[in-house]
Amino acid sequence: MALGTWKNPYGAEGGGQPSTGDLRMFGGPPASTSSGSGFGGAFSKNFGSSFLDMWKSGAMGGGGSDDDKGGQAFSPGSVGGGSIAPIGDKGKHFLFQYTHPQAQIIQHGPDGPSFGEQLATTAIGAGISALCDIRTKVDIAPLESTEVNDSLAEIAFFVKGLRECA
Amino acid sequence: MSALEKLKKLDPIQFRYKENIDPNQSLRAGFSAQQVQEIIPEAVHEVDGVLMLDLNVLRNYLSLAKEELLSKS
Repeated sequence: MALGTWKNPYGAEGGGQPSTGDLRMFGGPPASTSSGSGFGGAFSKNFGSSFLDMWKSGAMGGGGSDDDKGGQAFSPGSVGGGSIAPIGDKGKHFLFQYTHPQAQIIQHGPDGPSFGEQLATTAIGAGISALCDIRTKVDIAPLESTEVNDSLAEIAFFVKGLRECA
Repeated sequence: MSALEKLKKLDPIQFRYKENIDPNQSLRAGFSAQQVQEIIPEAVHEVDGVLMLDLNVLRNYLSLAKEELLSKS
C-alpha cells in the first residue's frame, strides 16, 4: 500500500485552479488484487475505509470543511486521514507540521490561515518543509527585505549574511 | 565541498506566492527549490511534481557552517 499521494494543487506548471490539496494516506482500495484475500488482505482493504468513515463522522476530530476555521487545517476529504496543522502565530507563517493519522491531531484556532495559505507549506514525513518551487512564486528578486519572518526567512538572511561576509 | 561553501552558493531571494496560494501577497524570503536541488539535493523533496524544501536539512547545514566558521576563527 502506498503511504500517500499528494495531488498537485497548482497544476503541472504551477497554474490552474487550486484543488483540495489531496493528501491521501488511505486513498481507496489497493491496486493489487492479491491483497484482497485472507485476513491481511481484508484488513488492509477495510482499514482505510473504516478509518475514513470514523474521520468523516467526527469520531476522530474530523468533519470540518475548508471554511470551518475552527476545525482541522484540512478537511477530511482533502487530507484523508492525516492532518496538517499550522505552526507559528495564527498561521501567518507558511510552516506546517504533518501529523500521521495515528498520532495526535493538532488543531488550529478559529483565526487560522486561509485554505490557500495552508497549501503553501506542508511537511514531508515528520519534518517541516516549505513550498519553494519557483513555479509557485512571482516577483522574484535578490533578497533585500521580507514582510514575513518565518524559519525560511531566518535561514535565507543567514545565508545572505554569509555571502556578504565572504 | 563543505557545508559553508554549499550555503554560500545559494542565492537568497525575496518573492511572493501566486495569488491562489497567498491572497495577501506578502513579501517573503527564501530560496528557489530548483537551485537548492542542484547544490543540496537532499534538502529538496518532490511531491507529485512540486518541490518542497526540507528546513531541517538546511538547519543542519547552518549548524555545520557555524562550526566551520568557529573553527576558522
